[in-house]
Amino acid sequence: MKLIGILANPQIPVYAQIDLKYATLRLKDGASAEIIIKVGEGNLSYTERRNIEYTLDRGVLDEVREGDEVPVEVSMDLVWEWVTGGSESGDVGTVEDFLKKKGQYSGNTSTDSDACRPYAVDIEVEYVPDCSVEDKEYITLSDYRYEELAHDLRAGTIATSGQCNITEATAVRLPQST
Amino acid sequence: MKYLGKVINAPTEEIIVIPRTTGNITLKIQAVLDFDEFEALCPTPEPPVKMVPGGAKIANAEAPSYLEAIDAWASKKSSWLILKALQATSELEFETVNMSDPETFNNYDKEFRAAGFSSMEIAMIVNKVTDTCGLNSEKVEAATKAFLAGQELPQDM
Repeated sequence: MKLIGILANPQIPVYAQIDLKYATLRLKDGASAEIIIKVGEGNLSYTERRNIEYTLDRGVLDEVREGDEVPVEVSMDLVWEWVTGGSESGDVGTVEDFLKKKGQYSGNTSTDSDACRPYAVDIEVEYVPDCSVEDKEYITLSDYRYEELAHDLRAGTIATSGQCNITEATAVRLPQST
Repeated sequence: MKYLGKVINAPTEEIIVIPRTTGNITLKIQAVLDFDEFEALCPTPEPPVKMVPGGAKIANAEAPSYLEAIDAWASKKSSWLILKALQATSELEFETVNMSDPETFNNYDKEFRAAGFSSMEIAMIVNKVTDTCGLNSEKVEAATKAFLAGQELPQDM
């Protein structure tokens, strides 16, 4: 007879923090709308977690399996230098409007394929290090929904946190020459 | 408008002859007076707007998409100028260029090459167009100097 029980339900976090001084941030909707944010200073952090379940066989560690999925947590706090619409002729609205699908961005399409779910956007970070021998990096955090948002247009600051409906961020590294 | 009592009502025309054993190719080039027709077809790209802290909106002339658009537009403008100037040669026809479609303007170069024109010959035609259109300031300067030298002659004699 084999006795199997859940020993624990630990969450194993993968934590990443990016210095946004050399980064350009893009918020994209599910169609072609985007807002580009040139960051003066600030940080963006995201946390990937996964539940690992360990089971015992008569008191001895035995099986290991993955438990329930956990959404990626995102937090950013930054001062922007400028914000642009990204299109050739497009005017630009505010980051707040983009995240809330309001004002100029009221016609935005959610990145979530299920239209009944709350509006979501993709966050794309283009990080080009100051040192040219280091690779540039593109990090995409898909289906982000803010849960907290503080935006001061006058001071050019954004502080937001929320979650992405994904378990892992997508990171692509390329030489700066490309 | 009159000059020395004669009415001036035609743009400058010049001729360039490209030698061929099968028969020389004579191209007539007429100065293009303005770019109104081109601007109507292909307006100058506008830079995107960027917002700075405080909410002020200013032109983002450094946007990569805008720089690309300006490059492409300038290339089409140069091609249009050459094509327009060459329209004075009624015998010349480009098969893949449509003067009402800016996307086809740059095809003139491929057609010249396909017709056996060398890079140097194409460059000579382009230079002749720019000279005829008065875009060569050195040529204008040389003509002015020649005129002034002529003016000085009677004083020296």
